[in-house]
Amino acid sequence: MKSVSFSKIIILASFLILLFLPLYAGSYILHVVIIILFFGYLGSCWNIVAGYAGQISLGHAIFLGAGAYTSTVFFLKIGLSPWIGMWAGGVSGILLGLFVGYLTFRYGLKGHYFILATMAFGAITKVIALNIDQIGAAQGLIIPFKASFSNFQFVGKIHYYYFMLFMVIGIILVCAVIEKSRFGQILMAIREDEEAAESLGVNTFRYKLMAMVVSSFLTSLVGTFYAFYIGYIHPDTLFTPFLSIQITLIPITGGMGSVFGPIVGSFILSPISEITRGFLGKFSGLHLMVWGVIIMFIVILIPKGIIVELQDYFHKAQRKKLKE
Amino acid sequence: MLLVRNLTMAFKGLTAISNLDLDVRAGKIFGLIGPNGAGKTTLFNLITGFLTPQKGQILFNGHNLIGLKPHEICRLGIARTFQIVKVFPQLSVYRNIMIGSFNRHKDIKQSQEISELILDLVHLTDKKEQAASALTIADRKRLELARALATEPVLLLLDETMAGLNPTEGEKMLSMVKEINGRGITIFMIEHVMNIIMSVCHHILVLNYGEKIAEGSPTEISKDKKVIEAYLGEEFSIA
Repeated sequence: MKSVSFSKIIILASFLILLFLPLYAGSYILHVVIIILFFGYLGSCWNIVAGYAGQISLGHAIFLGAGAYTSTVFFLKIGLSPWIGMWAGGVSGILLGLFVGYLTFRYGLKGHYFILATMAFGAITKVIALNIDQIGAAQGLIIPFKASFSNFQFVGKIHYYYFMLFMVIGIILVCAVIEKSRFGQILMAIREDEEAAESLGVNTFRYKLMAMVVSSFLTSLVGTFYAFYIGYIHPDTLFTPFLSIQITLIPITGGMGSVFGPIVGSFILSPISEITRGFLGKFSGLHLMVWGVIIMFIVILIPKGIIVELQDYFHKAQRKKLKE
Repeated sequence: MLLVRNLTMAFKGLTAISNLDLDVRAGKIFGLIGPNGAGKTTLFNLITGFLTPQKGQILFNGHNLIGLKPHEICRLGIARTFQIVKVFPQLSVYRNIMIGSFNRHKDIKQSQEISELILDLVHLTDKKEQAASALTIADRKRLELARALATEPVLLLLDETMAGLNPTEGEKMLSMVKEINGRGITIFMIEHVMNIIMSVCHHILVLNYGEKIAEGSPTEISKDKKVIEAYLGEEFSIA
């Protein structure tokens, strides 16, 4: 009981700190926290299909890219507000998720083969995006800055910050509901043993596809945020394997298959990535090497992820107390 | 209830099952025995849709099972356990059973009620919050049985549920199987422990190299010359 109320206090305290952060944090800190929230959100989306359903996708950046490109193209070509474009991006995420999920799951790709297939989709998407002139090809797309609410462009970072905070709270609630639901429990069963789940009446193909689509839809929603926050999208930054890997490392560090794992993971990994980039940015690539070494240590020291290790620790402490 | 006709299955030239016919009657306990590699588990995999045969028919209450997916076959009312236990290791005992009950129930409350009942039936109530990976082999086998029961089958296929259990655990499992059968669920079991199969089954089929070599009541089987040669080694008397 004690550990439950303890974790509730931590959640509430961090929520309050985050809620009032813009009052006392400078622009750089705010930017770092926005990036933390952004990757925490992406990690949570990935966690639905990988952490709960056990289907490790290494191509999740394509869903983010699809969302970003869809809303940006609509905005530049017909002036559609990004607030609506975001949902158009969501639809593109659903379609792409269905496409990738149908092809990989229909033909029963599992484990390493599924990972390789999703990587291949990532590579293909990048080549396609680099060669379509209508979406900027290798030049990318620049979004001219005209601050207004309907343009999803704001002076300063505070609006972006609260948008991302809202999205993160949203995804935490979504994951908490999934975890308790019939849907979520079936996904976990598939992760644990697909054949056994199938023998118990679970249409594993349909559930894996549903998990993929929910994940790809939620991922593509924030593509719009990415595009309008940065103001520039390019296949090399959006469809890069590095981005896909980053999305997977964060929940792995924090704890896969747990509601808060990806968020906690992002609070640990994303600042390291931002800070090493800030200090070592002038030596091209060096910050990635440092980041990589730090990740190696984390994986060796806490292989199950921080949240899961903490839970285990509390469970053990509780059991000890019960014994006494 | 379950009708198999002319069933043939070969893996790259190796015939695992050839021209097999069998009838499982409703309400009975049907035993399948045979030496290692006789094709027993292959037969279960064919019936439950994990494998597709080259030839033959499998009918369950008039439904043709060939070409159906395992989850569709489960929906029709056939549940199974696996020779090498396949519990969901990281999920709790309770949640393992819940997954089975989702087969018939969309509502999570109903699933919970059924899971509680089944936990009680297999005597796992005091371990319900433990992870399945923390259970002993005997408990895991009972959990698998419980999970299969939670799908509310009419026919239950048990693949060596007694193997690896000590005599006390075996007795416990056996009385559970009898109780389940007493509730009207037909049982089709693969077993190696001879006195169990002889004492509990109404009808026995003996398989050797994918072919049926004998079929009949326990008494008939224990006296069959071919069975003694292939399998029993010496005349088996019912204790």
